[in-house]
Parts: sequence; structure tokens; C-alpha cells
Amino acid sequence: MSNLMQEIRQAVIEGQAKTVVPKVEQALADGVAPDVILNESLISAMAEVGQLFEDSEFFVPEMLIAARAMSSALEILKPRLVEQGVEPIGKIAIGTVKGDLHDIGKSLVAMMLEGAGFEIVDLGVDVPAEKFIEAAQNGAKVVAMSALLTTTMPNMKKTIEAFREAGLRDQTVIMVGGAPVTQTYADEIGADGYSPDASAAVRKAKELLGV
Amino acid sequence: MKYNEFTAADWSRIRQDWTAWWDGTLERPLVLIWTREPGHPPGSIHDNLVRWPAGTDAQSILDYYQPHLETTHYHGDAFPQWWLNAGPGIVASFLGSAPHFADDGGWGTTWFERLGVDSLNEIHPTYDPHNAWWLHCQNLMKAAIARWGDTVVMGCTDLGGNMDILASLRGTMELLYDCFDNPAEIDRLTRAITALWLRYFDEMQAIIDTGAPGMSYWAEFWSPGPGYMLQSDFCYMISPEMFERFVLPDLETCCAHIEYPFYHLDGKGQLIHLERMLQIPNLRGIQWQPGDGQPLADGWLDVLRQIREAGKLCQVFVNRKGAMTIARELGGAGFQFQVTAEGLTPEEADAFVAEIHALA
Repeated sequence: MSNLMQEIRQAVIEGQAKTVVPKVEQALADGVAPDVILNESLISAMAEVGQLFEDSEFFVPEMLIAARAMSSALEILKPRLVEQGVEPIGKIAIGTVKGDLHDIGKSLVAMMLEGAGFEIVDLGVDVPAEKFIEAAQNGAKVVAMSALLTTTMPNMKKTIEAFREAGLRDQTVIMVGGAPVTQTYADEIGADGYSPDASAAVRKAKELLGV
Repeated sequence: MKYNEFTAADWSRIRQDWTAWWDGTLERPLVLIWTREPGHPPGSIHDNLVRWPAGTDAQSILDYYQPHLETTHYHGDAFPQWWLNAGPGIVASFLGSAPHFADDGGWGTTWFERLGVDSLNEIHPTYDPHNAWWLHCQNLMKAAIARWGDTVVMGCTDLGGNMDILASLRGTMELLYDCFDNPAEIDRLTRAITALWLRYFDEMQAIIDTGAPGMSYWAEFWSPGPGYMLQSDFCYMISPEMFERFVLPDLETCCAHIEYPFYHLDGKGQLIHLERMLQIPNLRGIQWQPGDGQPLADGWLDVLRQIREAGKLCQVFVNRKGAMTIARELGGAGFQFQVTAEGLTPEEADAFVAEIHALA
């Protein structure tokens, strides 16, 4: 990896959005291919951020500013990636289930998934089953649901049932997460995957999609 | 025993045992159980009162709680108590944030509308004696004391933690970014909010201290003087370094000011801060709540041992089996067990209290 690629990577890890943008522009001006910047610097940096979070060396604010730096770079790269014909590795619709207004955990997962190369459709909070289904009908291969309350967790099950009734269950990968959610609960309600945190969600999504 | 059956001797027992527990001289755990009479109304005496708009007639609100009080039996070290539940962190509304009631399937909770500012620099918290929610809370507390004053202990409302209040005013996500983007302003605002918080606390305590048999706060604590359950949900998300800078000064200030402070340790994400909290000299104890989806409190004996070995008291919510496990493994002294009734009859609840007391 060149020095410039390493500098971009390090600036993302440190959440230095103002540093990342000119360096990415410089790399493009130097003729570095957008997908090389994406893979060698941005995705690699966010993988490191996820690892640091799992190791309790990074916490939520550190993850957020790293993701913000990554997004700033991605804004510059996106049109170039389209020109280059580079596709996202998958499309994921994510939201907090109906009745639940918690946003942060869901947003962190969305940012980490985007940082891993996925296209994200963020449905927001208090999302009814119909919205998740609509997102799947619009091309999302994975639907990721978050719940922070034991009282809203049952809406994960209801959403999965709604997917069955709509005839979309078999063609949609469904992931669940959130503080009160466990692997056991995910199994009980028939979800395809569970992850305890944002970093693990990236690994699980890749595993489930085989990418 | 029902609330209107408490005699002077019962209140004397409550005072004596709880005071001994606070002093560390009670050789058994405090054990609190509540049972409800068949046919009791739905809901709870702890239901969130933000379901009614500010300014709603106080008597009609208290009428809602009256039948809950009348159908509750108090066992062990439990005592008749009502606390003003306006949701966690109502100081945000005293400072201008609109509260919204949300039915969460339990007591209900409160969501606070952010102020909509672009920067922390635009937030300047000030005491407003005419704030509708502050006036409403004071009026409700006065009305409750007038109605139940010598038969029910009044509990201070859940004022909130300083960073939680600031998160309500600013927006949690925005405040998380501010931790890096604008830390000096967080320092300014946490100091300002703590100063205001202490004023609201003192003024509420002055109302509570006008007639009730002891003082209380949420989680059914009884104390001979002002007490409070401190908290910082925000610290679940931040590093020990940020905790030290943004949260700890507020906790230390409040602990120095309040005679009977406890801390609401909510979720395993806060455990990284526990060791530092235990070093706060005036902090009396820790309420450990493992959080939804986690093993119950008796599944965390190492945490409970750490709390007790630091010389702090400890409150946990447990079932009967859990209470017995903790009492056997760690000894009951210094613990306060709030035991889920699990459909117990009053006689069964009393029998369990006797059984766990016999362990001591």
C-alpha cells in the first residue's frame, strides 16, 4: 500500500474527515483507481475500526467520527465508482422496528455496513413491516432489524411473518440485533442471522450473502 | 400489610432497619416484596404521568394512583411510597424540551424533543420558575403530600443525569459527535446543568421534607434524609477517558451534595466505569441492572462481589431463587433485594421474607 493510501486509511481510523477529503482528491488526481482507494483505504480502515471497537479500544463516538470520515471520502468516490462500473457488494435495508424510536445502534450498524462496501437503505426508526417489505421488493437482499426494547422485539417476529405472508421470506435474508436480542431469540423467530454489535453485523452480512 | 395499616411502630421499624442498612450495621439484607389484591386495576402506581399534559388537575391524576395504593400489600422492608414518575430526565423539560409520552408496555416512558440547535454553543440552560412542567411537578408533589403525607413516603422525580439531559436537549447522536467536535462546550454545559440540577433537587426535596415519614426516590429507597438515584445512560457509549471528563465531575459534585446517593448502573456497557465509580467516596451504593436479554442479577456474582468489596451497598431486582443465591454466596448484609412477586399470596411473600432473614 502506498504512503498516500496508508495516510487515508489512518485518517479515517482517526475520524479526520477534513484530512481525508483532500487526500482522496489527491489520490484520484495521481491516477489511483477509485476502487483501489475504496478497498485499500476506506474498507480496510473501517474493518480496523470495527476490530478496535470489539477490543474495547474504540467506543461509539470514535466509531461515529471514523464513519463520518469514511462517508466524506465515499461522497467523492461514488460517482467515480459508478463510472468505473464498480457495484456495491450487496444492498441492505435497515431500520428500527415499529414502536421503537432508538436510532444509534441501528445507525452504527448501517455505517459499518456501508464502510464494508454495502449499499444501505436506512429506513429510520419506528418502521412498520410494510416498509421493510417494500425495501425488499425494491432490491434489498438483506433486511436488518433493530430493537432496543423487550416490548418492541415481538415486532421483529411480526415482520418476519409478514415477509412469509408476502411470499418474500425465501428470497430475503433477515438479520436482527439490538441490546435485548440474543441468538436464541433470533432462532426462535426464524431470523437468518444475529449479531451482538455493529462490527459483527458486517461479518454476519458477508457470511449470509457469501461475499 | 396495606398502606393505611402502617402504624407508628411499623414506621419506626422502617426507620430503624433502613437507617441501620445505610450505616452498614444491619446484618441481614433488606427484602422488599409487593403483592397486589385480586381485581386490582391495570397499570401500576409507578405509571408515567406525562400521559397527562402539564397543568392537568392534580387531584384527577392522583385519583388514578389511589386504587393502586389501596390494592397493594407491602412485605418485608417495603413501605408505602409514591414517586413522581415523569420519565427519566425531566429536567430536560424544565429547561425547555417538550416531553412526549410513549407507551413501552410497562410504566410508559418519556421522549424529549431536542431543541433543534445547530451547535452546543446555542444552548444556554437557565432556571425558569414559570416553566409549565416544573410548576406541574411541584404542584403534583404538594398535592400528593396533602393527600397522603403521613401515610406514604414521597419519592423525588427522576431528574436525570447531566449528559442524559444534555443529550435530550441536543440530540444523542449530535452529542456523540460533539464529544470530539466541541468538548469544551460539553464541559461548559455539563457544569451549568449540574448547577441547575442541584437547584431543582433542593427545591423538590424542600417540598418532600414537609410532612412525609422519611424520604425516597425511584426504586423504592427509604432514607432519613435527601437521597437520589444518580445515573448516566450516556456513559454506556463512551470511553473511560470521556467518562472521566464529562460524567465523573457531575457524579462527584452530586455525591458531595446529597446525603444518600446511589448509582443506577444500567447494562454491561457501563461496567467499564464501575471501578472508577466505586472510588467516589460519598457514593453509598450501586443498583445493578444487567439489562434486557442478559442473565438476571444473580448471574453476575463477580460484579456484586466487586461492589460489596469496595464497601458500597448494592440493590438488585431478583426473583426468590436469585435472592437466596446471592445471600448464600455473598452474604445478605449490604444488599437490598427487590423481589418479584411471581404471583405470590401475601402469606407466601411473608414466608419468603422470614426464610431469607433466617439465613443471616
